[in-house]
This record gives sequence, C-alpha cells and structure tokens, in this order.
Amino acid sequence: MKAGHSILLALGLFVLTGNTRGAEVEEGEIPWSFQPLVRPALPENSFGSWPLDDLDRFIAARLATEGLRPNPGADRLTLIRRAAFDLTGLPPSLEEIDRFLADPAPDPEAFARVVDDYLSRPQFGERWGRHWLDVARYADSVGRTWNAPFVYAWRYRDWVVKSFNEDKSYRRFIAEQIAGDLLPADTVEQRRDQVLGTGFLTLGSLAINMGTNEAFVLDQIDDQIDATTRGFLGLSIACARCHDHKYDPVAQMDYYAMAGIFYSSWTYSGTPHVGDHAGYGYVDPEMLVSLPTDLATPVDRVRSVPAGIHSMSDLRQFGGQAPPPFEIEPQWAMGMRDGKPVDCALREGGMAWDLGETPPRGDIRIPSLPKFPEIPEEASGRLQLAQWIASPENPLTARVMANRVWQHLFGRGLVETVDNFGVTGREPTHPELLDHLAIRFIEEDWSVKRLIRTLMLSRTYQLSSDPQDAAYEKDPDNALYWRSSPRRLELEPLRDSLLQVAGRLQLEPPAPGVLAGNGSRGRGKTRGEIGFDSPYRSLYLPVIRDFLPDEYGVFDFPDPSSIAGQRHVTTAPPQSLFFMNSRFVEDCARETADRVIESNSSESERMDFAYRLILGRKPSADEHQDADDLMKHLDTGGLDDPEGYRWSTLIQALFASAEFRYVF
Amino acid sequence: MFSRRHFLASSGPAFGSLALSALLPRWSAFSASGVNPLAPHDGHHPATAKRVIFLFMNGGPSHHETFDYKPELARAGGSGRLLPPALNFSPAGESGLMISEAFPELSKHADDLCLLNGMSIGTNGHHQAVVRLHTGNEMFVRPSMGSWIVYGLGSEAEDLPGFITIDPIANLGGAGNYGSAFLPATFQGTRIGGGAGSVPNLYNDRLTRDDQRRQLDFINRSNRRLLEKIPGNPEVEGVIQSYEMAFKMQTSVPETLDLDSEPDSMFDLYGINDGVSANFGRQCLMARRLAERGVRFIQLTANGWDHHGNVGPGVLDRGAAIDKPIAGLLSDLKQRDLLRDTLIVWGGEFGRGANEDNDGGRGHNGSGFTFWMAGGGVKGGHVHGATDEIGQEAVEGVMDFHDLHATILHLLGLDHHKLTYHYAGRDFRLTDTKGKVNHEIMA
Repeated sequence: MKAGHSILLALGLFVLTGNTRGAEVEEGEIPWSFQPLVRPALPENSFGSWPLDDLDRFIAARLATEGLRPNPGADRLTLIRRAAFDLTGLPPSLEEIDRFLADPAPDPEAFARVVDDYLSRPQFGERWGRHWLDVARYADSVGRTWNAPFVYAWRYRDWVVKSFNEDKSYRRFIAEQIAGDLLPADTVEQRRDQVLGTGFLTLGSLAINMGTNEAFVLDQIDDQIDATTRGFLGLSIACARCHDHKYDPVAQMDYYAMAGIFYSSWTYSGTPHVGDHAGYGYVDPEMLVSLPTDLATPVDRVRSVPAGIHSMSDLRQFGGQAPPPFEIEPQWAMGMRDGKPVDCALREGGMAWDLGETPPRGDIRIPSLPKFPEIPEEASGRLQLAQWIASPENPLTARVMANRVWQHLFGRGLVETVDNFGVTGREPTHPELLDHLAIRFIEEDWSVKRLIRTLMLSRTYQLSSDPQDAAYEKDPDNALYWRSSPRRLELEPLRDSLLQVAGRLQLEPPAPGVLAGNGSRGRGKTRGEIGFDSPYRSLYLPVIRDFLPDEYGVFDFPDPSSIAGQRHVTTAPPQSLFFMNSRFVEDCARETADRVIESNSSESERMDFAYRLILGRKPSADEHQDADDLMKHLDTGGLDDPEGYRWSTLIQALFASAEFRYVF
Repeated sequence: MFSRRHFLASSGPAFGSLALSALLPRWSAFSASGVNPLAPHDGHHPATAKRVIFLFMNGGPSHHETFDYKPELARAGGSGRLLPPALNFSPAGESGLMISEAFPELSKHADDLCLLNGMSIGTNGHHQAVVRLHTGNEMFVRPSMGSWIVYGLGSEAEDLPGFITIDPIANLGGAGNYGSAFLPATFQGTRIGGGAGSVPNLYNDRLTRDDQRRQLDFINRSNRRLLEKIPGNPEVEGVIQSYEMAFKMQTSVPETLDLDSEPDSMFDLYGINDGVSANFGRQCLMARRLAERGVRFIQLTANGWDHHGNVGPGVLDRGAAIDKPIAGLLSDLKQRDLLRDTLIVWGGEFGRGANEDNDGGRGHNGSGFTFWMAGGGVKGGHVHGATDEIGQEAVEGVMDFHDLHATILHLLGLDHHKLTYHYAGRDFRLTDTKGKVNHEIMA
C-alpha cells in the first residue's frame, strides 16, 4: 500500500485546485513523513532477555504479533565478516578473526570491541563516504554532451570521507554542503574545509555545449534542487519544475521559491557552459573557487591562472597527442559563492523564456514542514536553506538519514524507497522504530558513528541469516527482520577484497591529478590515469560518466549521473564471466597462489591458509578432499609452473564461490 | 513481475533439477535478488512481433533521395533555394511503392515495407534527436528503448544477453543510447563489435576447456554445499544458475557471432563479399543469427548520412552500403519464417530539408521525414503519412518518436501506458506522458 485513502483524496483536491499553495492543504492530509517526529513508547518486551538495545523491542514486538521467532545469533566468524565489510568494505584480517574468536568476553562485549575498532579506522570513512557519494551523484566528469573532466571533484570526495571519519555531526555535514562558504569558522583550515562541502552542489550532469546560458542555468538549478531535496529530505521537489507536484503537496511556486536561492548563487564546477566561455574552453580554472586564506574575505572564484596544464586551451600544445593529466593547484576547488540576490520567476511548463509570477526566495510553503527562515535581502538564502533542512524541527531530515544508515546495515531501509519519503514512496515497515532512531540520532548530536554503533550492537543486527521454514512461509522478504539478510558484495568491496587477499591492495590514496583530456565527444576523450587494475581502493578510481569500465555495469554500480541512494542487486552471467575469465581475477588468483605456496611447504597447511585467506575459515574434510581432487585432475602437462597453475585454479574457484561474493 | 516460476519454467532441463523444482512453491513469492530478471514473460496483450531489429541510420538520411517521392519538388526545383530530388524514383513491387535508385535490391521487397512518411520531431539538432530517438528524452538520462523492451518482456535467448547493439556510436549520447539508466543494469544493451564480436571476459586463455569445466564443477559443488547448510537460499541459487549460463555463453556468443560457419551463398546474399556493403552485411547477418537465438532487441548502426553537401552521390554511396545487406536480411528472415514475428525498423534521427544547404546538399530537417518498418505484424507495401508538396513538413499521419515507441511496444504486446518503472517518486514510461499507438499500419 502506498498511501491511505485520505491522503490520496486530499492530494486529489490539491491537484484539482491548481495553483493553490501547499500551505492551504489541511493538516492531517499530508504524507506520513511530514508529520512531526513523535517519541514512541517502548513496546512491551516480548522475548525476555533477547533485546540488547531498545530498538530490538520494536522488532521483537512485531515478530511476536506475527507469531514469528527470530533466528539465533550468528556465529562469531560470520559476525566479524559482516561487521568488517559493513564498516570498512574489506574482509577481516586473520589476526582480527583469531582475536575475536578467542576473546573470552561475553559476545556483546567482545563484539562491541570489534565494532569500535573498525569505526576508528580510516577505511570506515571510505566505506561510508562511498554510500554518500551514490546519493551525491559523484563523478569526475560532467557527462552528457561534452564530457569534460571535473579536475577538482576529488576534493569533495575526500571531504566526504574525512567528514565520516571525523564523525562530523550530520547537521554540519548538511550545512557545509549547502552553504559551507557562508558558515562562520574558527580557523582558516576549518573555513577551507567547509567550502569544500559545497562541491556537492556543483556535480550535476549537464549539457555544457548546448542551448542558451539561461536554460543551462535553470537546468543546473534543477539539479541542485533535486540533489538537495532528494538527498537530505527524500523529497522530489524537482518534480514541480514544470507544474505543481502530482502527488506530494509541493507547488510549482515552492520550486521557484527554492530556485531563487540557487539563482542568487554562483556555481563553480570548472566546466562552464559554452555561453560562459572566456578563452579557456570547457575546462576553465577561472570557473573554480579559490579556497579562502583568511577568516573574513568572502569566497571568490579563481582570478589568476599560472602557466601549466590547467585548462582546455592549455591542451592545444599537445595537438592530437594524448595530453598528460591536468596539474593540481592547492588553492582551487569546486564550490559555490553568493552572487547578486535575484528571485527566480516561475517558468510556465518549465520553459526558460515563459515567465510567470515571481515568488520571493525561500517563500516555501510546504504544509507541516517548518517555516522557512527569513532570508536577508542581501543574501542568497543558502544559509537559511541549510538551517531549514539541518534542523531537529524538520521531520524528514533525521528520518531520511537514520533510514539510509539502517539500509546499509540491514540490506533494506525501514522505508524501502530511501530517496523517496513522499506519497509515492513506500511507507515504513516499522514507523515507530524509525522515529525512535531518528530522535536518538538527533539527541546524540547527529552522530552517524554512534547511530551505526547502536544499530550494530543490537540483537537484530547480530542474528544469523539461516533460513527458517515457518518464517519463510510468512515473510520471505524478511521485512520483519527475523533473520539477517544475506547481501551481495558491491563492486567496491568485491574488488578491494580481491586485491587485499592477493596482497596488492594499496591503502594510501593515490596522489590527485589523474584526470586528462578535455571531454569532447566520444569515448576516451576524458580519461583517468588509474584504472580498474590499479592497486588503489575502488573509491579512488576516477568516475568518468558514460564511460565506466564494463565491470561497473556488471556489478550494478549506480549511474553516476543520477541520485541513487539504493543500488540494484542483480545476479547475472556477466558477473560469473568476470570471475571465470577476467584478467583481473586471474592476476589476483595468481598472486594469492604465490602467497599460499610461500606460506608453507605442506599441502595441507597451504590449503588451510588459502581457505582462511579467502573465506576466513579452514576447509572441512569434505572440502579439503574436493579441493585435492580438483588440483589433482588438472592438466598440468607441459607447464613451467604446475604448482602455480594448480593453486591459482583452486583459488580462482574460491573467489568465484557464493560464500566469497556474499556476506551472510 | 519477474516471478521465480517464470525463470524455472524457462530454464529447461539443464537447470531444472529436481531439487530446484522442489523448492518452487516455497520460493514462488520471492522476487528479490537471485532471480533471473531476463526470463521471458508475457506482455500486456497478444503480440505480433517477438523481437526487434533496429537499423539506425546515423546522421539523418534524406527522405527526398530515399523513400519520399516529391515530383512537386522536382518541378519547383531551382526556384529560390529549393533543391530538386537528386535521385530518380520508380514504382516497385505490386504495391508500386516509390523508392529511389539508391535501393535497387531493397525495392524488390517493397511489398514488405511500411513507409512512415509523416515523421516529425520538432528538433534539428543531432544530439537531441539521436537521444530522443533512443530514449524518448534528451533532457534527462533515461533508459533506452531496448532496455524498456527487455524489462517488459525478458529475453528468449537462454545463453545470450537480451539486448545487443552492434558497433554503436560513441558520441551523441554514446552509451546512454543503449543504457538502462534507472532500470537495473541487467537490462542495458550489450555492445559488441561487428568485426570480432566481443563481450567482456568471454575467453579464458589460461585454462583448458576441460580444466575450466573441472573448476566450474568445483565451484558448483561448493555452492551446493553452502546451499545444503542454508537450503533454498535464493542468492546462492542465483549464483549457481548464473555460472551455468556464463559457461554456455562462452560457447554461444562466439558461435553466434562467428560467421565462418555460414555458407558462401549467405555472404553473397548479405553483400558481405562486396567491399562497400561488407561491414553492414556482417552486421545484418549477425542480427539474423541473434534473432534466431531469441535475442529480444538488436540494434545495428550505419553511419555517414549527414549529407550537407552532394546529397545525390552521398545517398547513392550510403545506399550501396546497406541496400544488399538489408534486402538479404529480409529474404533470409522470410525464408526462415522469422520475418512474421521480427519487426524491422529503419530510420535516422531526422530527415533533410527541401532547400539546398551547401553545394547540392541538404540541411537537417526534423519536421518531416521517413522511417519504415517491415515484418512483425505491420502492413506491407503500405505508405502511412505524408509530407507537404516539397517534403518539408509532415502534414498527414504525423508521428513523432513517442508515437514510434508506443507503436513498437504495441506490436510487441506491450502497452506503453502500462510499461512503467517506479523511480524518484513517480512511475516513468518510455513515452513519458505522450505517445499514440498507430493502429493504421497494423496488418
């Protein structure tokens, strides 16, 4: 069920009355998610000592009502593997496994130590930063019609990683992305850091070589509204660009009241529209911001460009030759600054030149959401937009983020449509639990790490994923959380794990400055100097829109032009072909084989080591026998290195196994 | 939409072990990961076409020199900037369709062709028009027509991808023209080279085939062992199935695309032995082989139709490159009784203007041009729609790309209103809020 009848009826009225502003919709007739957060009473405890955290009581109550019993807890090996991937995107090391298995402390205490350890590692920010980059439509090129490189996007990417590692309060995380250039700061360093957050607003996928500049600016604003409202509020306000929203109580006037805020701001992506060119072409350093060097001077764009390889015009000297990568200047970044404040007239049907009424900036009257703060005459209103969103009074903000975090740890959001909390989205499976978590999130200073820790130390997180006949019958999708849902490793942890096992993973990020080319039309015109077979974590590989490596599509990496808080999960033959035949997997298998062969001279010890490296456990007697049989029957006649051939064939098979590709 | 039942039913004896069938009732409600979304399923109404071969003419072929006979333009030619048709037309087949001298071989199939002479899309930009043709919308990133169709119907090819595009263009939207956008990635087009026929990771040059089979058996045994511990786990089931399919694809893809097994008569039929038509001939022959194996949507691309100058010689030259291959494809499909349920669609992003552009050429014209269809339940020897007297504007039976998409979906048994995907808070369609099915061209 999408929505109650009353909601549909109310919206029917809303649509019929055309230009009626949302504010006139009566209270009680708005989407569930617009209702203020209400602290729910803790349910009666249904399963004795089962709950480890208050959140478990909400899960237990529903299970009990439906007559279901939760699974027993997962064994420690399963648990540490789950936690390591969830927190770092990498498998646990053998030492970590041994330590946890041998820890005499009771399970909850021992597991808390594991969680705290992983939460404190730099790899945590890389894992959770990547989740956010999916939402932020992160890419290293603009895409579309002239795929010019975003030479400085990496600064925003690294800012996201750092924010998660520092456990920056989520309110601040939001505010810096919308208005980091306008926030007060204590130090210059902090101020520069805050400006980097505004890179979020500059990453839109836009056609930079077509149309009029005005139409381009409106498209850019549309992207900014969409990223901001869907990313932080789970609301598709961008649906109201051409007409009042068909489902949610958002009027076209609300859209243009928000558009005025961005209309009064300058967006610096370094890839200007053709109408903005000043001699540098589509890669234009003067269309970047210059990071502030003091606490007071307003953020400005780059005003002087030193000699070097910085712009499209700098590439001319290379003629038809492939140019070297762009150089990196320490002061430059993608970002925003305020311009002259101008309200944005409504565009009939979304057409750039068909002007209608002009709503004042920030005159957003979406019913039941907090009143929008007053925008001073001389300000764009981005600061007020940040205040309006990053507020405990806004019922959507904390709910949306608590739900995103839940999704990454449990495989599915309490609201399955994580980017859509509107009428057309799914309703929460556990509405009280969602509010319980959202309120705790707010009360614990919007700390993402603490929220993650809370969820992971719950009983619900630590259940085994084994099936259970009775529960299957009733709830095959596990919507009630009677088990832990097995999850397929996404592209990044999968690739990173293969490199890790092979002993090749380089945890240090690559030096910036790996993008080359001017975009232009067609494949390979913008390229990254480090590719799929490089030793760096996947997060650091450049994301060139429309030209991702084949593996990305095969493993459901989201389209980097779209906001995608939820990834598809497919199991298709090209994934199997990747394991069976790709040079990448073959190389990793070969390098792992070398490690295994060098580890020991006894076949049996080697076998144990191989299984432990790849699956975290020793083989059973059956498996041992099976692996021996495979290696014995391989045709090694005439090979220089029969031992390497036999071991790498076995190891490749272990990589290909479901046990390696999934977290259970 | 994609029930497990469908998948198992389609997977045949190779997959359908007793163990799997025994699990069927228990898992029939499970529609998440682990289930093959490419399994074929029924559309909304009975279909006349089961698959599509789209012959994309990149650049915007001139309708004045191909399929839209304009004697008035010839008479008016020379007055003002009007450029008279540069090629001769003559009636072809029993239907007497007027086709230009650029297509002597295709003319022999006139009675199978359904000309759509009233195409009009309201843009003259290559990029806008190409992307709109492929995805319905050039403003935003949207799934391509082929992705929608495979999403709607699955694929009958058990060991091949459901949507294949041979030698697609890299610019003008590039991969977006066969991308799945917000649809699951499994519906995206698989790009293969018409020369070598390549799919990523198809070959293993390290293991012998026997050793790879041994390795795969080992993988299957470990996955089965895992499955015993957690019976009926759909994720593990999905992995097991996909290895079997992958193993088959290693053979089926090269086999399908390897034209060496075709007799020389086929090479003649498709014009592969002629230099000028060899390339597109190979594409057409591959298309027939893919169609035979049940691939749902096949796209071929012929470049070079942007004739701003010398439109007469230009169209003759491009015509020669595709004439015999397409005629060969039509005869071959017919003799295999495949034309009946294979819809052939021919066209480019727009047509060309009545006025002279440079030196005997024509500029872009999105307000009137020609597409044609054949097979798949459309009328043969039929003309639908017309441009004005000088071929500048569509005035009768006007169709835009939304209408074209709606009509193609309809022939495949899909209702373009009902083929939706929920994303970003609303149900998206290939035809957005538009699209009119053209029932008049249906046989």
